[in-house]
Amino acid sequence: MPREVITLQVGQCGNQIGTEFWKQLCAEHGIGKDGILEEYAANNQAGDRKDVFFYQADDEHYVPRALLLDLEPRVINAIQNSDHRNLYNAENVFISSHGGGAGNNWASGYSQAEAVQEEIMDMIDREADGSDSLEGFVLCHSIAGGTGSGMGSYLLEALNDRYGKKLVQTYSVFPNQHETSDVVVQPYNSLLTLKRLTLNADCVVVLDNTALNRIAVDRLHIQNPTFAQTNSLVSTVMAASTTTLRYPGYMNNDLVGLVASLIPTPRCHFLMTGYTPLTLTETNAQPAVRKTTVLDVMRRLLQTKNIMVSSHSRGKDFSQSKYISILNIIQGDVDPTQVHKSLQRIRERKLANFIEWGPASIQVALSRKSPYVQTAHRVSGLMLANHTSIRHLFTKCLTQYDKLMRRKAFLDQYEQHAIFADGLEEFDDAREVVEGLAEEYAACESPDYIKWASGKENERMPGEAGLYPGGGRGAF
Amino acid sequence: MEGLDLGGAATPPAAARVRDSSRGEGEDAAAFAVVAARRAPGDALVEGRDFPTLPAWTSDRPFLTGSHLGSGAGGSSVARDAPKPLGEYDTACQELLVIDDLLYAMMGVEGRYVTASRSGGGAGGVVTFHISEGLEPSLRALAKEALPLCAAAATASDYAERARRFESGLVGHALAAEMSELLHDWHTMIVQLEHQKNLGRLSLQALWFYVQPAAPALALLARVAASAPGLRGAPLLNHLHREARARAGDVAARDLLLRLLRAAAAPYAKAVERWVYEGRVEDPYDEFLIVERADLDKASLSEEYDSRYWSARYTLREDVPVFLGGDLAEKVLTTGKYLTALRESTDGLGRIALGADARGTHATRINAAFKHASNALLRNVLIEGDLRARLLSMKRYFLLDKGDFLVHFVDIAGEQLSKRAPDISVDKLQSLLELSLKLSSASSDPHNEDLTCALERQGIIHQLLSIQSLRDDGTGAGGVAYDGDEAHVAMTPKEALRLTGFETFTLDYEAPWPVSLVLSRRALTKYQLLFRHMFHCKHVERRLCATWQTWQSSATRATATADAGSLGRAYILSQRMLHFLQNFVYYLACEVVEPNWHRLEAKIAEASNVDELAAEHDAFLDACMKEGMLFWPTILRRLEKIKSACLRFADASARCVLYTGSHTTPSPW
Repeated sequence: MPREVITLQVGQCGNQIGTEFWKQLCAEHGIGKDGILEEYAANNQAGDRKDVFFYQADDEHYVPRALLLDLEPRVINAIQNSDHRNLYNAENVFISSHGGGAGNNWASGYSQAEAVQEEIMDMIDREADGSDSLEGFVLCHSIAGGTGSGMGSYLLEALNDRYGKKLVQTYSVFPNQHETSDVVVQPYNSLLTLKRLTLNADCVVVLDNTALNRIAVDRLHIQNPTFAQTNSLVSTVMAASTTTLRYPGYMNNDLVGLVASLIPTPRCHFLMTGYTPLTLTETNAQPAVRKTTVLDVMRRLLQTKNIMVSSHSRGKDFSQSKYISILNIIQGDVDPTQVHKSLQRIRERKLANFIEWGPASIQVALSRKSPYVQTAHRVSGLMLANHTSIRHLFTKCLTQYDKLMRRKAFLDQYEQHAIFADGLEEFDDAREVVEGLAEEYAACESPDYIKWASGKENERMPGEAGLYPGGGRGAF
Repeated sequence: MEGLDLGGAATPPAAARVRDSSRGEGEDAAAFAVVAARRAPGDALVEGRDFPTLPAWTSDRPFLTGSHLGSGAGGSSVARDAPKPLGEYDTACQELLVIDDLLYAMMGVEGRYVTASRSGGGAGGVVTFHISEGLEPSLRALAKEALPLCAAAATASDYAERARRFESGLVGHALAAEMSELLHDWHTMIVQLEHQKNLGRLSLQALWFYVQPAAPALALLARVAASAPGLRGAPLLNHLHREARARAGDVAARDLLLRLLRAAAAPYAKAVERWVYEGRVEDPYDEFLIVERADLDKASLSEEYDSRYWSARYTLREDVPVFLGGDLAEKVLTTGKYLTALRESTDGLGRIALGADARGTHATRINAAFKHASNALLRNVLIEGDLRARLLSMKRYFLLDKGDFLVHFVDIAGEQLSKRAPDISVDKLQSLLELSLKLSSASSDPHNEDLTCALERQGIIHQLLSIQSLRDDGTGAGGVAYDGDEAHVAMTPKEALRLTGFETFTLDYEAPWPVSLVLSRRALTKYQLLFRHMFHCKHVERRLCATWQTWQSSATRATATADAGSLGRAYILSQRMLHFLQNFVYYLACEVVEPNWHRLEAKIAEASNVDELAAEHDAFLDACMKEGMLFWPTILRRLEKIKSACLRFADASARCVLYTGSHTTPSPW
């Protein structure tokens, strides 16, 4: 089947959200817990494409194209003891032999991954060989811990090396910055991972634990949201963002087409998400949103309280932050004329503040809903947006890092590992990359971003300005 | 005359009578044989209206047809006898002689004292009778009263004789037969009068008394006979109908005319009946309501863009009888058309069982037949033809409703398609297409086997233009005039050679009968144009995505870090292009196709017959093409320019990445 996507779940968090994601996909495609197609889904009336994320084993049961990777056995063992244990391909599970985990140390995760790279790359190659025309990889991980960040970082580099032309998308969980984390070296881990996310991923969907918690508390009225609950929010977003691949429509039938228009310059590829209406299947809470029209959904998607990234210091900078691009995936029974009207209304009321240097508008992808999952809402929507306020997440990360670094706290843990054997340049390097990223996002807010970009170009590469005259000529 | 038997069957057909009278005359029989031979092998009587003529003796022997009257041909023999002038007889004798002559004249035979003359000469003139001089004045006055009667009878029989020719058509024959029937009654009466005369009981007064009631009827017949020649088919019926309506006050006259009308309309009604009940045209004399053009074949529906099978195979004649006025005639036409379609689709099994009940007016029966036929055909197209599913397939394949098969197809066939058109193997494309259909969500579509692919020879604009020029002399459906400077419609072969598969690739679909009524070649061509339009946009979008992916590669990202923003302009330009194209495709899909499709679905549910269905479907396609800017060449040309700029940009960036050499990945992919 064309355009397959291979999912890599790394670390505790990665495996947890990954599992939720597969549960959701199975439910939407009518696949049972053991991978056998449910009877009601047998004749493929839904016209869906299961093959993007699944393949069929010899006994007709569907196997996720997923690799479960962890350095400690706890989470994966839990999966293997759950009722979904027969779903996954047992060959695709990797648990480090010593099982000690990465100890929340990026460097440990990174070097452990390096040590077992052959085994992991074999698994990836096997999956890749099993697909007709691989579209790319999806990586689920968190950037704060040790395994998800360190091993994830290593995998990003390795994938880039080996599958340079394949798309790499990540669902990266950012740590909760309101609580004092139990992981004190979290800023180090985040910074080092952010460097790889900037350089080695094509598209990063940022899932901010802070915002996820806020949404669970404010929108779903859960006082102390559990990981399972926030994870189900994540899986909802992940499933929704892949619906156009799984339920083919007029457009966005491949991952590239979906993300290409969202990401204007290679580095600005950090996407925020918003989803409405949100419900949790486990809770008995009344759904918070009752009326769902297209306009309603689209308007709610633009409200910051529904966005799964918390933007800091909203007060002073928020008015300046702008949308670089928006893609709304609207699911359900929608009359296209309504979409048109809603877009007009939103434009008239200037609900979305766009950058001035490029073409920007809300793009809409209409998608069908799974016929097997009953929802209370007629229409639901996912927003994928590239918004400049995301830079505050990076600057926050930088300040936290700087605080730690000034004291040179906990560095000894890192120095033990090979990558830091020759000194701590890696930290400086990463800091420079992340700072550059934040700067670029800041520059995007100004109307003369293009001048900024090409100014730098002229300043640094005066000789190469005329290299490709076709590219710069103002055809538009 | 009023007491005549109205239920009498028509006299034997004219041809049969001709055969009877030709017996024993060798050369005439031979002449007839020639005629018969000409008719026998199904010589289309309708084609070119080339009717056989009656044998020559019908014109050579005027006595047989009564056309000798007043032409002098018969007068000579009478003149030879030179009868004694009437004045030399006494009154009683005069009366007897005149009665005798009048009785002859009433049958169309000249006597000694009652002679005929023809005004205008030749066979077409009007016959008048005269009485010789010398008759006693009172008798003369009485006898003169009876003369117009004789003339009327002669005119009527004259028409009855002449209308039996082939070219008068079935309606003419029927009218002539009915007139002969009436004249036959008239002759019977004359025989009875002669009997009275032989018994010596008939005086001139008595004669006048007996024939007087028949006078208006005969006058009417003569009037009809005088005005009818030259009319045939529906106009003749309409003429009779007009005459009858004009005599609404005169019950006897109206009844007589209605009797004639009914008789004349009988073959016409029978033809209508055959058409609306069986869908067959039986029209040897080219006069019936429906004109069939047998040269139009239904296979042309799926082959020619401008197929006129459905619209022109059966048409209404210009003249429609009054009793089929209003929309009834149109209904008759459609009914039969549907029946023909049904018959062709079920190989004769789709015949309608005609209810035994023949009561009710013809209108209600036609309406019933119409309803039956249209429902049956609609059912046939919708259910057995599975039209809805087929339209969904069309939407899926041609309008890219579910575009996943195309993504796969372009992935595996991209190499083929990027070649120049002559180097592409269509067979290979076909097998690749089938492969991608099987592997995509289209595999569950029951009609995916009817999909084939093809390569057009011209660019989309040129194809549109050539269709436009086709349309200009045709129906003018689109109604958007292309610029005047488009004299060169066809692409030069050199230009055509430069096209790649991406520009010429198109899908094709084989719609089986009777779905091809709706999915005709015309509709398919429109689908193809829409497909090419969207396909090419998708292709450019895909190329730009590929470019984007090249920029995304880590090497470029690293360069970008080193001097933040090199290539910045290129990124943004590529972003703009992509944004434009995606929005355009979105516009085509969600703002053009989808809303129109919704409208079409609603209309299909409402449609009560196949014509409405086809018209709605056509309207859907036209709306899609119009809103998709296919009828707007200036915009379309600009779009082509934008797309070619995008493609050049994609090529240039691919070269650029190669040139800078920064793109080195040891990837096996």
